[in-house]
Amino acid sequence: MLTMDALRRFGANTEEGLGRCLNDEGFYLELVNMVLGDAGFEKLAAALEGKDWQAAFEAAHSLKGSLGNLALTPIYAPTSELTERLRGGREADYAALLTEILSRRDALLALREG
Amino acid sequence: MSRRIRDYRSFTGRFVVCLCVLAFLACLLPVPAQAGEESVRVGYYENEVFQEGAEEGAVKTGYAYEYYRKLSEYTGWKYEYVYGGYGELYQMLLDGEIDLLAGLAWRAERVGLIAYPDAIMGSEAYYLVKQEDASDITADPATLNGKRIGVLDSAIVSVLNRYLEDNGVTAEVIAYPDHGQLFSAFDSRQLDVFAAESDGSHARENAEVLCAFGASEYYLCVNIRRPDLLAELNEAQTLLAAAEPNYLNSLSTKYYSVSVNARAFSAAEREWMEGHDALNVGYLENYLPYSDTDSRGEVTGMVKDLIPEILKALSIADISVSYRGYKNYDDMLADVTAGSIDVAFPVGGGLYYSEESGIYQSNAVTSASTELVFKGAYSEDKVARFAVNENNRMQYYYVKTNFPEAEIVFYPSTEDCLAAVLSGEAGCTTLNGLRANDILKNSKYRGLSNRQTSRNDDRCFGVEIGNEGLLKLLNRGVNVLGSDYAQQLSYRYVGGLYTYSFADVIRDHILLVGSIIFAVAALVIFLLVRDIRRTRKEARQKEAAQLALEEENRVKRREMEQRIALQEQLIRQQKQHEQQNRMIVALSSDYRSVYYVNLDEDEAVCYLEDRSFPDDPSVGEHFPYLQVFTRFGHDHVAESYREGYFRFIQPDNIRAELLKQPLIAYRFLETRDGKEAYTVLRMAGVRHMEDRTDHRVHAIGVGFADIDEEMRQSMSQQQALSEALAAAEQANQAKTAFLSSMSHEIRTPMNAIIGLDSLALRNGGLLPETREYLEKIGESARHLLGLINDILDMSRIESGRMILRKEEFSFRAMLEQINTMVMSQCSEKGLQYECSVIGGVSDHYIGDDMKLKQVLINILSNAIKFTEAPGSVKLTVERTATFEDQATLKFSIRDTGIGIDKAFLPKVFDSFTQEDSNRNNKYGSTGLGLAITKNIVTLMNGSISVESEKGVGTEFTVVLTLKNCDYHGPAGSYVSPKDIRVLIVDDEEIAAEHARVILDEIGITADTSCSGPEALNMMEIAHTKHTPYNLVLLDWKMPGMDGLEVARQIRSRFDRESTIIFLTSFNWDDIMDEALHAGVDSFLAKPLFASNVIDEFERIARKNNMSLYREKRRAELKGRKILLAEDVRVNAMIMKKLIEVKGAEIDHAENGRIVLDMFAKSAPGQYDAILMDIRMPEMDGLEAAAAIRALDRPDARIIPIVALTANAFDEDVQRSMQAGMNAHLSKPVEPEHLYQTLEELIWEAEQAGKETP
Repeated sequence: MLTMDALRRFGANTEEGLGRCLNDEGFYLELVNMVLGDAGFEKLAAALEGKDWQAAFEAAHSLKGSLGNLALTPIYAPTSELTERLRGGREADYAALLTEILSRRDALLALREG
Repeated sequence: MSRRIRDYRSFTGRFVVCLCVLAFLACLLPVPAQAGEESVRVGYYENEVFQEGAEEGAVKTGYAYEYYRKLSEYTGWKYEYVYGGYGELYQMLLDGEIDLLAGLAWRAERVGLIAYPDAIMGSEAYYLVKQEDASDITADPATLNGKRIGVLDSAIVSVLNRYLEDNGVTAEVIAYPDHGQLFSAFDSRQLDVFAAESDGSHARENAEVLCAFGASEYYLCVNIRRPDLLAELNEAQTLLAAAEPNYLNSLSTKYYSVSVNARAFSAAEREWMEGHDALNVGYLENYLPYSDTDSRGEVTGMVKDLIPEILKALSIADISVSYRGYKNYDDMLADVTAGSIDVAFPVGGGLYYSEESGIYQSNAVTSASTELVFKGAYSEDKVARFAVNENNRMQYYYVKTNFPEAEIVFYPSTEDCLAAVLSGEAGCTTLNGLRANDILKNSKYRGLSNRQTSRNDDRCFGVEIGNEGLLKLLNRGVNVLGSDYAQQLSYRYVGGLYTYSFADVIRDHILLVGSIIFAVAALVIFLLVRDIRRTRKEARQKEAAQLALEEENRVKRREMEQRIALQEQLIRQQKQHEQQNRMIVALSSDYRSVYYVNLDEDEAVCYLEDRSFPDDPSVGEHFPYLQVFTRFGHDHVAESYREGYFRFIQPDNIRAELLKQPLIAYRFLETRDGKEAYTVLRMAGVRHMEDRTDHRVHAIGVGFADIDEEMRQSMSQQQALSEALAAAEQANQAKTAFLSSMSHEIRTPMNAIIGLDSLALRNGGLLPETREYLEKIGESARHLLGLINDILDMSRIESGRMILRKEEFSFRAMLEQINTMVMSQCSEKGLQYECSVIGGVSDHYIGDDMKLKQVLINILSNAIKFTEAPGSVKLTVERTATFEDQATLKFSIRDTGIGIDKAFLPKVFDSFTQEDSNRNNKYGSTGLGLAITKNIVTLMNGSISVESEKGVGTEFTVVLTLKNCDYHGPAGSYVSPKDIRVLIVDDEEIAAEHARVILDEIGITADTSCSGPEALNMMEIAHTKHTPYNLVLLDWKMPGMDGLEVARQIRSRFDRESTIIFLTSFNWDDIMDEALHAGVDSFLAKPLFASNVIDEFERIARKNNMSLYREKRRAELKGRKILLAEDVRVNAMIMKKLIEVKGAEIDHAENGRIVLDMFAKSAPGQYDAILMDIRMPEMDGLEAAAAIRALDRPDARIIPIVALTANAFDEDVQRSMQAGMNAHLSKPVEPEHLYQTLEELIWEAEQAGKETP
């Protein structure tokens, strides 16, 4: 079960995120859960795997929007970086960033389960 | 024929003249044509005083009669008098048998029967008169209750009834048909009281006046069938009132001064009469015609007749009168107050002094002018010293009142006063107007002149204050006798003032007297001859011979006198000639020609001639002065000098000028034979022995001198001087201009130095040594900049270009800023700083806070500069006065510094002055600071002063008056740096970067742009993003588009969304108007200081009375329906939540295609706005927006579309704008920003929707 405290410990800027949700904690936590279950992460991984840079960019961009809105900074930061890198549509090694994104998502998931 | 004409010429001539006069009068007077032929019928009834002589052939007199005569002067009426009783005549007026009837009161019931003119012919007061011994009746109306009051059956009845009613009195009012019945009823005591008109009653032994109870006005009424007469009467009355406004009053005084009021005594008067059987009269001696004691020791003068006449007029018989003469006025008044005499005469000198002496002054017996008496011609200095008779205090009082500045010298009598004036001991004295002429007739006063003063001095009776009964009796008496009486009386007694001695007679009329004597002698001889016939023939011859001898002697004596006079004249002339010769000798060396001029005779003699001009008078030649000198003027004085020359040579001018100075001169350009030369004409008075006493110039010496060389020399000097002055002024202007432009030129590189220095200092990896150098560079640069700013200020002041603002400002905020600055400087130096504000200082005033701050900081900086630790600096602000909407504030700045030398204090505010120039190095200053300060304070109509003591300290005091203001804006400083968005536009990158850094230091985010077009682009983007720049700092001189053009563009594209401050190192005075017109709000000098920016920004905001931030009209979100295109679910949910909180609904589309579809299918107006994510699968936001705009439905073009994107790059913004979107919000979206954007856009769209049907 995610709590505000847990999110704070995770490194999310809960104040900002909560503010954007009009300080409705339930709503905020609901959205965070929704993002954690978003298929976008898998879509991103698949696109990168298949070197579909355009699809990867779109997936990363979408994720970035959601994560930014909720101020899940630890996941948002690498996602944002990846988005910008993909914007050029150039071939490169994005594995490290993807790994960081996924591991942080997993860490948050672990918090929720734990 | 011709003879007959000649015979009758004189008669016809006279006749013609008469006709002309009549015709002329007829033109003047508003008389209708028939007036001359038809006479006006006047009803004439007998009424004592009012209208007398009511029968054919009787002499007519009276108030009304005189009034008729006066009217005819204006109307030209001829009267036919119709006699009869009043009632009879009234009936005739009603029937139209007579045209006029006088004395009718206005009654409503009469209107329509008879015609009333607009103006009255008179008015009368009504009095209540009671039985003398009825002590139960007083002036209190209540005592009339239950009494019987008789009244003539007339208009008085209604007036009386109204009076009784008004006072709540119930009395029995009995009306009598005539005066006879009324009076007999009163005399037989059937009545307690009777009502009388002022003019209709008679003296009654048993009557006492109670009070006046009313007045009524009466008219000259007109036959109602004669509107023409009424019109003439109205016109005549109007003209009469205009020409003789006081006519009715004077007529009334003439006929009704003897009224019931005059004859029936009041209680106080009765009381006095009962208590006295003798009247002791004091009079002033030696004061004819008023009073004196004659050679037999008896009283004489007006007083002798006045008192008995008054008693007679008042019918007071049983009282004995005794007189006592006084030599001294004060003694007389003292006896009045002591009670040894009842009344003093005359008393005068003004009411004030009478009261001071304890005296009531009666009505004026006479009111004569006072004559000033002096010797010779009158001049102001005569009245500086007055001779006053010490026995006549009235004179003293008069002089004291009317000539308070004059010195007063006392003499024992009038004669001595006059003698003092004659001898010159005193400048003048006064004489009573009734006395003056006859006194001055005396030959010994022949040298004296008199002059009437404008202030009359009344001569009255004086009784002790409190003796009201006697005072009223005397007043009544004076009124009854009338003012003419005393005047007439005075003529009887003035004779005594003038003693015309035999010697006077001889002297005055030597020939006349001689012939009279001769005639008398002849008569005597004739009588002798007739009486004694033959016997005295010899005697007669002897007598005749004697007379002849006397006559001969007289003639001889006269001849002798004439001879002596002639001799004296010769001696005088001799002296005069000697004097003239001396003068001429003295003058001649310098003069070309010299003349002696007798101004009185207009005669001139030439004493020295100029041989080069043979036309001029030659030596010894006599000639008429004015004529020759005038001709000279026309012939030889250059035109530009001619008028002055003519003025100069006028005898009156010469006399007047020579009284002021002994020698007068006129310089002119003389033209002769085609040559021009400067000449001076000098004149000096020639004094004759006998003229010493009169201040009049009779003769003058006149000289012409050639001054051409000197004149030309002095003119060329003058020319050189004025050229030098012009050159100096020009140089001064050039200096100012040079300083001004130099300062600006220096500032440009200074910008670079300061800018680069501050950028360099931001580098963290500097060597300590380098850092120190850089800091020193910065310090020096800032100091240099200070100097330049001072010089600029001074040149602005000198060229009059320093302009004061009159704007609301926060006094508190200003003080805070000063304190912050001063405090840090003080603490750096280890000084104590204290600022105290004493009572009544408001938070806001209207004035120029920038300049005020400059003044205070200048002085405070000086104080800090010249004070060493441990010392203190103290600023005290005190409101010292308020007047209307202004407050006067006193600022004292006191330090415990080194002080200023007393000798230097007066120079402290001069430019470029320093007490010790060496100190300059130590303290570093221009010597301009205080001069600027002083100039600014002066410009603010304030004052600045300084007190100081060496080694103790200095105190500067600035006193200023500021306008109060009712401040309604937000309290306090309301600019928060983080809320301001600033755009800096400058083609010099260093300057722009420096400005950005400076602003960044105080937390202001600024963007920079290096050209106009770029800046406009950036503003467009910011505008679209709904985050416009609040402030644009705009450089003036830029290549391509200059600052002015950028400002114009900003105003035309973004209206007043942003404040524009011009930033320049150049002098903006010259472009100020143009810049303001282009839309620039204000100006700042480069290099920039952050606090200046904030101050200026706040000031402009306050001035424009606007919010600092863009504030637009907004629509309510509640109940709106918004279409959202967003592919990311979380974002959509957040957006939904945000919108729903505001009471609006949201429809969600996952991509551009869906949103286009949904909008296309919606009913017109179903959606109020679209929120469009840009990056979406299938169809992105840009494409969707463009497609929506392209739809053929009215709301497609106006529905607000707001772009939402994580990319707030400018290209993105531009793209969304090109796609037709209205705004661009970056994600994550701030709720407030979202609401504001939507609310504003929806409001705008609704307005647009209203306009397009």
